[in-house]
Amino acid sequence: MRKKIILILLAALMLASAVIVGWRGWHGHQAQKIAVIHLDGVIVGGRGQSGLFGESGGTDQLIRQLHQARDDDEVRAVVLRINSPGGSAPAAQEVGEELIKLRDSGKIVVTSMGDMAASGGYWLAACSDRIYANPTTLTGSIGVYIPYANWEELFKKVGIQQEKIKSGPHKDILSPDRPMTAEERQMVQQMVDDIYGQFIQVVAEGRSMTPERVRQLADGRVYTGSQAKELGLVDELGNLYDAIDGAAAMAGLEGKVEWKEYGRSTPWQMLTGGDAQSVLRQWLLGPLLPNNGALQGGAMALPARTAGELR
Amino acid sequence: MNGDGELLYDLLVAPRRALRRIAQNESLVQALLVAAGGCLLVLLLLSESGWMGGEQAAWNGGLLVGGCALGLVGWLLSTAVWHLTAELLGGTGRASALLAATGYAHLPLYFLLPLAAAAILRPQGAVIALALLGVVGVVAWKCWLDLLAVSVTYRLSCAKALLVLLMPWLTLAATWLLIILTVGLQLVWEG
Repeated sequence: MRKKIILILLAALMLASAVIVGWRGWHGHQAQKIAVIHLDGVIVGGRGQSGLFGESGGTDQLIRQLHQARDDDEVRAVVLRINSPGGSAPAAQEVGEELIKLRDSGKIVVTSMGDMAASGGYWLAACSDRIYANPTTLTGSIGVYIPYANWEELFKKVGIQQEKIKSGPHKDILSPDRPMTAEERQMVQQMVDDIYGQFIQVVAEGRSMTPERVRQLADGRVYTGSQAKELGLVDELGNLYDAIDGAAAMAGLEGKVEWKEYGRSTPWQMLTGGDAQSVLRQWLLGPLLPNNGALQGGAMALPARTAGELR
Repeated sequence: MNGDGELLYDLLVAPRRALRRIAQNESLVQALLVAAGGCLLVLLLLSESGWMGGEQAAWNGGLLVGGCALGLVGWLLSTAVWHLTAELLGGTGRASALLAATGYAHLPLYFLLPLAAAAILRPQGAVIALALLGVVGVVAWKCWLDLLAVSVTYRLSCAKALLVLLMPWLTLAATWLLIILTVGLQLVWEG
């Protein structure tokens, strides 16, 4: 009899616990939430570093998180936390388009700037409903450049004579082993101007300014958060939590706001994700490295032949 | 009280006796039910706590079924490895008996449910700390039952049974160490 009573009590305890956990699960899924999505570092397109079970660093992952937030019925608003000096123009444009689609789906998008949200980082910020920055955040740097270096003299000194068989006169444009011709310089300038024009358009539409006004501000200079607010490039001064509260207010959420972070690394991902290899390398060879990441970028960085750098 | 209820009660208060009976009866269906329930529960609690890639993964049917199946495969594989190791260390017993015993050894996992409920009802520092301590206790309890299961099934001493349980992990650790050393040496050589 005693055994029976104990077993019944245990069964009742389990049942009550299951009800509590189940209620919490169901209730948690009915709650309206703010999604927080982080953008850290240089904006680069693609998948970034791939690991055994994931990838990190490229904008593909960021776009996937934006898709998840869009499809998630619990999410009423998204706070994009930007900590970036900029990066590739196509990558910024691709993410910017996703932010606009997210807004078109009826969700609020608020940007919170961290240490820096310059150039490509500002391109993304301009695609949101409201921008929060700290007074000392570095932002602005609205502009485009395509890097180019002429190493012809260096090649001569070390005895390298590069030869090319090319299909057209401009196929090796921006090549570092020869000077750029006047015609090529004009072509590259036109590309820069075209991308710059698109950037201006995005900022003008996002900030409700005339393109002429944006061009006045967009000479490439960097602004502090408080300067940017005065100029209308930023809406509010505040930190991430202010941005979350602002997003909640704009989405009509009342009381204590629940928010969930997308892209947060789980312990499992930390062990198996794209960063694991670099962590292992750093751990094994840390003391031997003259500075962090010296082995990660390769011995020599050749000028990138990209459509445009927003940094 | 019926036999199954009594068996569960004995597993709580007299685990060695209960596991010996389970190993003799080889009641695999009941063991499967206990193990599947335990795996499912752990998955539910893990996904709710955000350990499996955020809350959006919680209550995802496919994920739960897949995870549960993986857990059961893990149970089968670990039993197979323990069986081989126990035989290598001189034990005599049947793999199906060990499978039944280790299946029932998932019972402590059910006690994660009240711990989770307590943490939900009172999400304060002391209660959370106690719940975490409880989780450690549950894991230790399950390991203890696994150890007893090996011990009674193969008539091995507790020390030998512990060696049986640890052997796969020791082998894995040695393999990892070897890989890390090899990769490390290769990196030093290249860098």
